[in-house]
Amino acid sequence: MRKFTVFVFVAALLVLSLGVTAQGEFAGQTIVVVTQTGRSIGGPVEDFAPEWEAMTGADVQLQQFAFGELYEKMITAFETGSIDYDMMIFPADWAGDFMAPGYLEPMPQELLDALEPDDIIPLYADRITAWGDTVYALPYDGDSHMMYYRKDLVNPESPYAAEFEAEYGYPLDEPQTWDQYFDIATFFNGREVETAGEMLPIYGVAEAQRRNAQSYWVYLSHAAGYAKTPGNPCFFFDCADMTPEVNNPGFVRALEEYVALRALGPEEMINWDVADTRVQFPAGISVFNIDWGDVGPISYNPDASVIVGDTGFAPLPGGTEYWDSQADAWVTPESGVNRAPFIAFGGWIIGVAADSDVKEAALDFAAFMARPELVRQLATIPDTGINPSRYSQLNVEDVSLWVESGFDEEGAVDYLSAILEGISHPNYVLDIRIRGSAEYLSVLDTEVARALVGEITAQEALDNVAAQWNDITDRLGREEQLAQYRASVGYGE
Amino acid sequence: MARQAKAGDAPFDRNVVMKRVFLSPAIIILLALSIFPLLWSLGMSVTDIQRGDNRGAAAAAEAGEDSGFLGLGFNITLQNYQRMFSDQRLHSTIRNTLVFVFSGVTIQYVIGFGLAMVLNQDFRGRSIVRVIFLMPMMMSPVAAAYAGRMMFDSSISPLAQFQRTLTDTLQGIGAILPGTFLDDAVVRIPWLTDAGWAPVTMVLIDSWQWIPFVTLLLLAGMQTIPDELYEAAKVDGANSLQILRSITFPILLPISATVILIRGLEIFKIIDIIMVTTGGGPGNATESLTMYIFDTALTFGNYGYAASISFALLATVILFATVFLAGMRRITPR
Repeated sequence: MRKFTVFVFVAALLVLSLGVTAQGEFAGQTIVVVTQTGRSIGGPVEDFAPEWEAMTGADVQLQQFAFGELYEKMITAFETGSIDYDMMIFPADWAGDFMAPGYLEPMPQELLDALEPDDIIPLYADRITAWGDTVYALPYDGDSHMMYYRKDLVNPESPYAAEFEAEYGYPLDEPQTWDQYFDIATFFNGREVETAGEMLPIYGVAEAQRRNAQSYWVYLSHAAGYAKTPGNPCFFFDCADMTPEVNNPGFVRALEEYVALRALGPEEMINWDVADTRVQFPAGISVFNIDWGDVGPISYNPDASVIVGDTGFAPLPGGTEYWDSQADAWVTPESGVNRAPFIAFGGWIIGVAADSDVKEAALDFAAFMARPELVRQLATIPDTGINPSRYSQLNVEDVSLWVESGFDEEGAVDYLSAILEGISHPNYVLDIRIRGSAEYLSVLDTEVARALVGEITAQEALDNVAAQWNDITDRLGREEQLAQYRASVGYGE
Repeated sequence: MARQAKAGDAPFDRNVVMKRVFLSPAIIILLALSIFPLLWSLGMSVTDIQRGDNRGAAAAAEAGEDSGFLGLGFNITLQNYQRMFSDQRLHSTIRNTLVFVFSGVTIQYVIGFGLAMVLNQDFRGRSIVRVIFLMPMMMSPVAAAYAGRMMFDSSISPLAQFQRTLTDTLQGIGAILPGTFLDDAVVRIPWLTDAGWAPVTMVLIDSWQWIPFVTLLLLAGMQTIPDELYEAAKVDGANSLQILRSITFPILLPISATVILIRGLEIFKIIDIIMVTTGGGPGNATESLTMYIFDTALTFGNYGYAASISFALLATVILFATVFLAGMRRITPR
């Protein structure tokens, strides 16, 4: 009995002392954050949460899952109402599944106002983080595809310039169109060039082509220039009735070219995801690479790259003509090139569960992680997975942060200009962000993989995709899907 | 003396009741953890349930529209089973899986049997060899798959280097002996990058990991065969092949059946090696049934359809096992 009394007394003292020491706005609260495994995206939470915990008295628990499981974990928590997670860092593609049903808490205006809203690129402020007129998430990472190339080989003063011009009839320089990209890749493929002081054979391209990974986004980057009509925000589906556009001649031409690129890269390329090409391109094996912004910092990391300072950065090439699905005809643009940067994936964004019982704390931590000065710093560090999404991160007048992280000034300006040109282009293409996006893209992935190995033609592959997309749309409800797609691309706004 | 139960006895037997009482927790746990989920997923297989139905049902109910079976947002239907007949991707995964099962089991059993016979001999260092030999089996399948992916890489792997060396050697011989086919001989196998070779590579990686398991079980069986049988056969003038055919193989049949059944059922569920090495590609060449079920349920959220494919797989496996065991019973000596 006495022992019990002493125990109760000590416990009471302990509780009182905790009450005294735990100070801060959210003392005693625990917020559970969920994102993908690894240092990329989740790493900064591990690094900076202690600082926020010390300021607020709250605890942050980070739960990480493999990318392949992440969607299922989050959606299950939402649908069952289990409130497993208070704050989620998730791909913008899932907006249709997370924002449309109201699973996320709308971001309070005062919180948005505190995050330098004018600094956020409109694509992210108005589209990627919002559903309709409501903002449900904070920008954390900006994502769009861009082109990387060996600028020591591809430039008008290159030792290969004369030979190239004699063969192709135009100067060797940064490609503006996919045709030029293809020509240059063909010209260099198999040629011995100087890389890191040695004469070594080089491939034309290193592009992700692995099935069940992220290669379909690379194919879509090729397709955007051929199948995106300027002024029409609808790309994957016809906004009149949700008819798939994926088997129109623009998409087919892009797939034929994507298949033909197999011959201009290593044989193993068919099993490469971006994780592989991010190792291979900086190792100097190819002239070209298509990827998100992550390759920029990696190419300047001497521990990972033998082409430090030799990498050129550029927005995606465009098509010399594009298929106008409304006119049902090929159109040649006046400028000679139809650029249509693909906002692949759309970036990782931060949301807070509407049902969270520590909503205020979660919103505060979300704002802490998305604050401008932090994301500016994170974007310059290799392997954080964070790419620029703010004007200030893309300010070519002040590249000191980038130079500090290892870039040279010219490279930093080149890199930032390429990203900015892509994400601020009026003809950009938004990824699929409606309910069932994972299934739509998986179907595309499967059929593209079949075309890559010659099992079926590009036209057959994309006809299959269109038929299956129609099935998915009908199963999920054509009217609802159409409404979501229109909202996701800003149709009629 | 124990009391014999007779017809017409009172049904109450205290011993029987006590046995049932003590057995009941295990039965209840089995029902709760195994049978109930099985029945639940069987029920799901005849619905059109998919991710997001609950929110749709709530909205439909509010609007006074059809909100599905018991207001749960889904309907009872047999369309999943109909869809299976027209699903081309499903058909290709079934084909791939059957290729994996039959070729994998055959390779693993034949090589495993041979190795068990070798390890059954007396030689110096036999214990160490056995331990080393079992190591692949102890690796995680993901680690084994990564090792396989590195080993079978077309450009930077020991195997690729060996192929290049062999090509150079043959062409060197061809230079000495002009006019032969060796002049332009090229040894190059696209292990993971060709739709024809990739399934073979999957089977090889799986076999590398699981042949030791087959060997271990068969070796254990071999060591139970009395030496007197072999001695008697030798006295009668039987050669090694006759001994194998008439003594070793028949006696090992029950163990062989078990090994083949276990490996067959395991390969039916193959997913990890494929995920790591090819992701189901090139094309659809290595996508397995389990991988497709995983995608259908967890990526697409089509729970009803995934459940129906799972039950089709279960039925196939049960049928395979039943036919196989019945066949084995017929040929096993009594």
